Amino acid sequence: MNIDRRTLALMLLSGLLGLVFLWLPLSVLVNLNRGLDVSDTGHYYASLYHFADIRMMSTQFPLVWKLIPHPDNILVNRLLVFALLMGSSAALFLLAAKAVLRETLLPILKWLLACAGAGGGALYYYYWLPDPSYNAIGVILMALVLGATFALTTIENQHGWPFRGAAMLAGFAGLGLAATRPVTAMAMALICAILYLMLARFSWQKLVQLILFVVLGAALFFVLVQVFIEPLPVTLERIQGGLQKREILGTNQLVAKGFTLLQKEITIIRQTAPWALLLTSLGGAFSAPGVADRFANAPWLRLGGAAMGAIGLIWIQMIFWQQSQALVQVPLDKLAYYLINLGLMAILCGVFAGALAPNKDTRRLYWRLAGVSALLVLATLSLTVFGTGYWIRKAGITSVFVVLACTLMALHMARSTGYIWALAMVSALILPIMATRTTMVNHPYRLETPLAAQTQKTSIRGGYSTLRLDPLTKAFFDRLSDAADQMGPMDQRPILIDLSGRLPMAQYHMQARPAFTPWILSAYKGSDAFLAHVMAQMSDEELARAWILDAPAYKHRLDPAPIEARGHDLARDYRIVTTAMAPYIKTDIVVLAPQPKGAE
Amino acid sequence: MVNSPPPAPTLRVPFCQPDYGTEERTAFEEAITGGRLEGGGVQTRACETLMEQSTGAERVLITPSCTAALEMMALALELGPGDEVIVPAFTFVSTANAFALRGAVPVFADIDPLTMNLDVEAARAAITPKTRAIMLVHYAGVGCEMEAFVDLCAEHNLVLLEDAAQAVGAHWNGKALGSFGAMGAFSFHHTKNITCGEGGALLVNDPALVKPAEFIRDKGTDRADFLRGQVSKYEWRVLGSSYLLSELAAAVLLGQFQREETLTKARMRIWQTYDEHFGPVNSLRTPQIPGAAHHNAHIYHLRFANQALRDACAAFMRAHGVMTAPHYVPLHTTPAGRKYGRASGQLPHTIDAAQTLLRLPLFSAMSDEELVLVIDTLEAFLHQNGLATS
Repeated sequence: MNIDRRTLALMLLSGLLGLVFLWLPLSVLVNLNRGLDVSDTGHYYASLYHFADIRMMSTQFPLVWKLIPHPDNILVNRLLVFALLMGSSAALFLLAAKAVLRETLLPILKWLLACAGAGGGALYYYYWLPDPSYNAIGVILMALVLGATFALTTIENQHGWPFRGAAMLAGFAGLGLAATRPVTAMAMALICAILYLMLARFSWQKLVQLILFVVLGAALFFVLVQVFIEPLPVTLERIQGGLQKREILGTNQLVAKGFTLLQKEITIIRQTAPWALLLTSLGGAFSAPGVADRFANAPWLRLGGAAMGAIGLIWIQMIFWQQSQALVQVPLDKLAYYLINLGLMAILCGVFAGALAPNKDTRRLYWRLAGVSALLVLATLSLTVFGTGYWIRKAGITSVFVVLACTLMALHMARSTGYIWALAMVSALILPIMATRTTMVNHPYRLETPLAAQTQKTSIRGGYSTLRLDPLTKAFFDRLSDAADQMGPMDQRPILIDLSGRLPMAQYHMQARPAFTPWILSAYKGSDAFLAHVMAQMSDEELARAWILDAPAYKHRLDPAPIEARGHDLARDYRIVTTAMAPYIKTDIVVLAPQPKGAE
Repeated sequence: MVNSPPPAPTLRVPFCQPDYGTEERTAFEEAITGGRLEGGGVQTRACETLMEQSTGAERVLITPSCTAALEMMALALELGPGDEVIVPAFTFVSTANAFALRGAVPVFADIDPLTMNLDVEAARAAITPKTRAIMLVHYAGVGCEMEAFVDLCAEHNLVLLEDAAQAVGAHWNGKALGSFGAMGAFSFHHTKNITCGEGGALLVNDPALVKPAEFIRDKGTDRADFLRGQVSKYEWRVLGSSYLLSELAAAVLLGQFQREETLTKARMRIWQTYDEHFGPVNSLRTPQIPGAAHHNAHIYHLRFANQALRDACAAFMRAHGVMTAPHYVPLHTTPAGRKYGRASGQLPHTIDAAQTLLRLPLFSAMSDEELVLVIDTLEAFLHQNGLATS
């Protein structure tokens, strides 16, 4: 193999670039023992470890996670989730590139794609701590389904085990995803179908084989769950309870707000950006390498195209920046809008450039690129709309990696004429990656303090895990530990009713039993009605033994009327076991235990 | 032609200077954004939680000043006419004033000349049948002989109280100062290691005193119980006052607590640098730290052979732009001290400390240039006066 100095330098640079992409996952790894979200993460752990007690869950992610042997240790769980996130994401990037480019990838490109993929997976940390939540498991399964689909498009022999294996993996992970995030699973099925039709060489025989082995993979998941986890009627009962819970609780306002913003954004793009996009696309098309080859006697065409493209780009940046300024107040959200729009622009440019391409092969390549970009953006949006108002920001950040993937493919395509320029484009992405990492460290999701302040060793759940938390949160957990010590033997622990409606982690930490649901959510329209619904499932004996976590001064506190209606007066019939400042809800909580019988 | 007075020398090193950073500003911003600036809010509770965590106290109540915390102590113990409280004579006025306000008599006892803390034997000698409590002051953040005082109080059935105004973060045998007695008081005044301008805290270590202390802070009402859902409406229960710190000040305090380790480390570096330079000087008496004490570098003080030398040194330092300061006027010699209290004996060590002690500038934001200037100026004075032998 002859390697000249220039190639060697480029390989070295690309290798280093890969290491930069790995910087993000590595910095996540060293911080994996820091921070603990007391709300949603509490919900997830309560769901996992008290699965048998819970009868109100619309999403069945513990079914999936319980197929993987895991210990009762938060850190080990995080390591597992994080490894799966990075691995599945890296595999997806590699398989997607192979499916689009249809040729053997250079080792250095494989390295770059794998690193970028791992970096993309690591971004989940920014979006959420990598605990085994339905979000994390959903993302892993989505990457597996999507990766398997990409692989299926490149395998010609439908009778071989690689094809069958990929189909079974799609089916297996697909049913897991359906149990974890049903609506997302449906969207993902649609995306995968489009992807397959777009990229694979279609034949009916192949389709029959595909369906057969997808069904087999799904059946395998089903059987494993039945054998190792629980029978279907129990799951159905739980789902029914979960649906009832959602109906009682009503709409989550945060998600509704997120959709409203997306709607506004699309309206503004439609009204202001098309001409700028057209100009950029035309410019991009005229300056494309294929055009230059075809019109070798007209260099002005390429130069003119480049100028048009540049003007269009500047125009678009201005429009996008202004619109993001007008739509949202948070600086990071503004950046997110900007990046999403950049991703959308990449897709549209790909479509137009393909339409104007000088030959069939170049056109196919551009359109594939546009198609894959569109699907990746769609997937990005799907994976970020997970019941949180923060989705815009996360989508934008994740879009960095969508753009990165597209750029890497462009880099590969253009390597004969503009490798250095393409590499420079990729290098420019280091800046947002560094910015993302910095933001992640200073504003970890759902945590009140930066990672640097999460320094105090804190024993969680009676010593099953030791995490580093900020001093206030540590004080909160320590107080709860003291209270938990008074709860009695582990197998006889009572139900803990959380009237703050925001601290399900308290129940997990104190090893108390949940009240049929992992989380009685406050601040929803139907929260009080839901508490009443939960109380109605509880026997008199269970209620008489139950402990209560109350937050009397909290604005979203659940009304204890259903408890009082059963003859239990919070002031008279309970004693205060401990009080603590709960930093997450910024108010004091009190843990109440029933007064011993006969006490005044 | 009128002679104008000579220009005052430019102040190049202040005596103390608070060190506020991003954390304080962020917390301040959050308090404003939160909109509730009355006392007892999120920022106050956060400070209290951090102090409870670090001291192991049963309950911490943030107050507008250490003076307020001391007054709360007197109220909580229901001290009044006919009661006596032993206090060191070498302390700030608030230590005695809090008890005099309730009609109790502060009895001034002498100090240990090495640590400037209340002397155990002097306290023992001051005990009378009227004595209800002994109030310790941990001078310069260096702990008193705690085991001896705990035993003394147990022996005479007295309440042990701690004025830990200067002792935030300091320990005795691994236990936080302020957490030994029934109650402890801390200061977050401008001059302290951790500050919010004006502020204090009451540590309640005796569980039986938690409720009375909460009542007293909230104008004598059981509002704290009401906020915990224990009573349906709050009412006047005991004598009390408004001893709540504003959330704005509490926000600054929270930021300071978050940086406590950094701030103390910076002070300790300066303290140790002073001690390396002046500890070996034979003509000076420098701080003596008992083996059981883990101090917080609150004060670095020198003691000269006599008052004339001390005053000359202070004037020399001031002339060179370095601010130094003596410390307390012995309380038993003051007009109010004579009127409301009484001295137990002659208190020679107190008099000597008041006449010979000089504090050097010490603050966490002190630059190396400032530190060098202080040391060089002091060394120049020592040389000029033939005191620089070691």
